[in-house]
Amino acid sequence: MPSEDGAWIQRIRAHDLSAFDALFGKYQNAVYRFASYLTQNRAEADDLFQEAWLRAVRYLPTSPEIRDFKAWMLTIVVNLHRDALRKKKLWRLFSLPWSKSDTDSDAILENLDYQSHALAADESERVDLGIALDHAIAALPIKLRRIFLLKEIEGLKHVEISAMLGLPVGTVKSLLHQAIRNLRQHLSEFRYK
Amino acid sequence: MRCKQAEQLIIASSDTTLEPKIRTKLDIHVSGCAKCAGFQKDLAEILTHLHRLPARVPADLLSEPTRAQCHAELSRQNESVAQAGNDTMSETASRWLLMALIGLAVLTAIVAVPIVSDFLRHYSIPNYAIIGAIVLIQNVLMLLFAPVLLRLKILKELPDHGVLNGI
Repeated sequence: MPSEDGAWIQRIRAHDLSAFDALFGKYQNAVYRFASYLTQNRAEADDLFQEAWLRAVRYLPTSPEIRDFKAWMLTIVVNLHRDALRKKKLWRLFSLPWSKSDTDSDAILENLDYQSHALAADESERVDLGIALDHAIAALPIKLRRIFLLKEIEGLKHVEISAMLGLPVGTVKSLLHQAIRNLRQHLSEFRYK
Repeated sequence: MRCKQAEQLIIASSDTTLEPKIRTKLDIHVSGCAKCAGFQKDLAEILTHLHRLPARVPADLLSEPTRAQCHAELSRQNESVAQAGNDTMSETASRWLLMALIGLAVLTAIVAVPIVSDFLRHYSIPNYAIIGAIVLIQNVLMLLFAPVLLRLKILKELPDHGVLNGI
């Protein structure tokens, strides 16, 4: 972990609010980016973002040594999202008509509002591919999406992801492989349209 | 080298540097396998476009209230710690006081018992009366400290201010 993060965490434990501001300023974009790609829904991402930071602040004083603050925050986001999905599934079980949307991809695509906008005519193909990639990520099953985002967007290593999610490194690699295959499949369909 | 292994190595090579031997084997496989060459090209394209996607950042309307809530939570924790500190101080004080009282009682017993016994035996007062007199003297001394103990007990039982503030 960068040494400045460790110093800020110590100062936060000593109730230094300016240290918290520094840490918040440094990682808020990464946390929000991850939450938004994970949920593919702006309202849910906003809730997840707020709840993750509040939980972090609640447990920071009593947590054992935090080796990597970013990974720790992203773990909180993953756990909160998992809990939210579990509650949603239970809710669906008891309140909605029987429907098949275990991956939430239908709901996700309806709410997808992080669209790339065409910047110039000559960039339209690049932008279209960007939009297609956005859709492809949204369409990934949540287990694959999680790992793909942690690896390719947040830049964590296989070992770090394995520690975060409690999965063997081999499983992480295998799921990542599957995610990339899925994305490739989705993008090839886009190309042939 | 099989295609599945080659694909895994292509993915791994974006994360770590492959050993030269493995790198060479992979390059040889890819150069002769259209499927894996396509996979490598597509992966490179995905990663390139991934980093060109528009940034997703929290709006100020989200970021600032979140920061403020976290500040409130940290302040609340600070108050709880201070309150716990005060409780600890009063507990320590009452513990010291209790020890002081016990010490006083022992000292009284050591010093007062022979004096009082001699005095009362001179007047042929029975032993139970002697003991009663000594206990009475000790109790009078403790009563002098009772207001202090009482005040400390009252302070401990005051309601938690954090709860009253609704945090």
